[in-house]
Amino acid sequence: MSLQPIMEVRHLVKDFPTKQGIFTKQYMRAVNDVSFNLYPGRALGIVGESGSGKSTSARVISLQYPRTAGEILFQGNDIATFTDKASVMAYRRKVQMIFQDPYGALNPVHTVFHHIARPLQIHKIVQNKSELEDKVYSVLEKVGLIPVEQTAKKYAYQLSGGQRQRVCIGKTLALGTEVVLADEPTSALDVSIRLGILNLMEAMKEDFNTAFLYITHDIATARYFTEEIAVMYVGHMVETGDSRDVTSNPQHPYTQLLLSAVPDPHKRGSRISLPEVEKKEIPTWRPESRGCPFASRCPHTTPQCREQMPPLTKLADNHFVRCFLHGG
Amino acid sequence: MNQGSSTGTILEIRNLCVDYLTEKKPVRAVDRVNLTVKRGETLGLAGESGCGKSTLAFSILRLHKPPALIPEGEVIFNGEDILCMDEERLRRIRWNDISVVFQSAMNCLNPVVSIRDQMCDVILAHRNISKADAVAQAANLLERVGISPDRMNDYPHQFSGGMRQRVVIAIALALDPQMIIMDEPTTALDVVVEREIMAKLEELKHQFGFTILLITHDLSLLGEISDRIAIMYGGRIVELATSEQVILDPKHPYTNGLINSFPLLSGEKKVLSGISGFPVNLWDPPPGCYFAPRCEACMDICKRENPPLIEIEPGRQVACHLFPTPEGGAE
Ligand SMILES: Nc1ncnc2c1ncn2[C@@H]1O[C@H](COP(=O)(O)OP(=O)(O)OP(=O)(O)O)[C@@H](O)[C@H]1O
Ligand SMILES: Nc1ncnc2c1ncn2[C@@H]1O[C@H](COP(=O)(O)OP(=O)(O)OP(=O)(O)O)[C@@H](O)[C@H]1O
Ligand code: SF4
Ligand SMILES: [Mg+2]
Ligand SMILES: [Mg+2]
Repeated sequence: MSLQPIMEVRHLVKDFPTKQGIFTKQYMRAVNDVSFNLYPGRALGIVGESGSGKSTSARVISLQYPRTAGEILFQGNDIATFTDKASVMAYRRKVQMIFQDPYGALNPVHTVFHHIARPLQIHKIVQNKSELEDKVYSVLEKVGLIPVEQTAKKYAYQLSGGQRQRVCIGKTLALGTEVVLADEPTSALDVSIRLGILNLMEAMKEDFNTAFLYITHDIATARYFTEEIAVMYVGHMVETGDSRDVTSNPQHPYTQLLLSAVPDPHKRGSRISLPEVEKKEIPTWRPESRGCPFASRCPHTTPQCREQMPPLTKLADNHFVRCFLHGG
Repeated sequence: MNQGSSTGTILEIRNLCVDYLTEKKPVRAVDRVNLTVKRGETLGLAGESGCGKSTLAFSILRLHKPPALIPEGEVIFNGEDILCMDEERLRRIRWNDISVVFQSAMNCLNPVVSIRDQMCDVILAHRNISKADAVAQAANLLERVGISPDRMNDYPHQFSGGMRQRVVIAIALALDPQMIIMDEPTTALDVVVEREIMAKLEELKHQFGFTILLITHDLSLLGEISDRIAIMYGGRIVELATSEQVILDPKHPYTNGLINSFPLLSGEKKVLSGISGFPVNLWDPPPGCYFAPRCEACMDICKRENPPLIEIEPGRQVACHLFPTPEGGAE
């Protein structure tokens, strides 16, 4: 790919302490050896089951959690070097997270105007009041909250979920955010308005060259909105590549399982049942854990899978898989 | 024990209305619903958040609580109107004949009572058998839903979400009901777990022949597993047809919009629109068709008159002015 990445994540590791004794400390490894790039105007989807480390990855990138190991480069600079307040502020402005719950993200007693205006004032993006108004109204228009003057006067509690999510997205637009980390931005919304939000984010890719990390359970919306998909399982990225390749030609046994489980009305009656696995429990990964994270549930497990971590193998130009069935 | 013929109608909802008596004014959450459930079928009920799916499910067994109230309607189960039954008769029907799996029921298991005891409690409350027999039956039920009976003495927190949901389903099956109403049984779960539970349910249905009313907002799931689908909008049924018809040839513009809200995993990527505007506000509904403000096919009549649910071809019902009552035909 000739594009220059805006964000490069290299071998990211994140541990959380679990039990603490007097002499012993135990950890769980929520994210292990995760690497990916984000590009301007493109979206990377992260899919995978609950607890696989999707949100943790985004939280580490947005400086909410410190990392345990690995590198995170923003425009070529390691974010660990951002130690002074000014560079942290600048980074926070350019890299913003939006969340699943648009209800929690906005203070109900403030108006829509306040929610968009506040970050503009904090980051000193506007000089005076009339400039502030213009900016707020133009943002509201871009995110489809029209008529803008009327919407601006409303309080967050007077908005529907979809409208609130538009306000959250509007905040990122107002700030000139370059990387949006969207953590399940549509899963709490009504089915009929989810597409409106995805299409709005799609327009941001095109119009503002925004880079997206799109975290979701819903692999069909990931295929719809993203250029690339990374599949996570128990803290590991097990497959990554072009969205179309990953969804139409999945190579990792977990991706295959995931895709075969997605409801599809067009497969009525013809569905092949899921491969039976004896042990369904999902393991907790620890720094000392060994083998492939999927070995306990995989239908192809060999003794090697239980002993060693399979390497990330390149299958095609932009299609990688972490499984011994494919080299290693 | 399943009684009666294996075909025909098991449940008929006639003109059912449910209001919530809020401080400002009553809100009609279920509005003149007519719905017939056929014995042995899986009937899906879909619609987005707040359209009245759970309210409808509750009211079928009169499990609704104040401020909900049923001002009119009938719910005929095997020839008897549930809404007029005395409490004793109703108590016998609940669990024995019709059981309900409530939305997020898996989070409602009692955390300090073992799985074994929670299951036995239900069985012993309705069956005159010994504790030992109830335990044996509970073990058998767990096995049916794919949980090893060795885990019977565990407590809910020792189970994953998917396992807890299976326990809830096992409890619903405990008294061998003729019909199960399931409200979003897998919504909080990962797709792989959802698939496992749905496959299990289908297998059990083949074995025991119960009828399922399956409520969810996930039209893709319903399209795959149910026989017929009813679509609800603003408390009203707007379309009822076979799953194939609903998925491949929807008639109501809302159904069409819903289908356009689910990207598919295969085929060409195409731009989908979802539905513009926002769901109906039941506190202040429009006078005519509730979908009119969002509908691209909206005509003048739609803004004035609520279209009745009519049969446009045998077995197929739609409530939309684009499909007028056939000339001379009854409504
Ligand atoms: N602050 C924390 N302290 C301890 N453990 C945590 C913390 N945050 C996350 N974890 C653990 O890390 C693992 C990954 O969690 P994470 O929230 O990243 O998963 P996820 O993939 O986003 O799941 P979901 O789809 O349910 O949102 C989980 O086992 C979780 O319990
Ligand atoms: N206790 C209550 N008091 C007042 N209104 C209520 C109450 N419970 C529900 N409602 C209203 O009744 C309508 C129908 O709610 P219901 O829970 O049946 O919807 P649903 O289709 O099950 O939604 P979901 O998909 O979110 O579960 C909603 O508009 C809701 O706001
Ligand atoms: S490495 Fe082994 S256990 Fe892991 S997915 Fe591949 S075959 Fe299965
Ligand atoms: Mg998460
Ligand atoms: Mg509900």
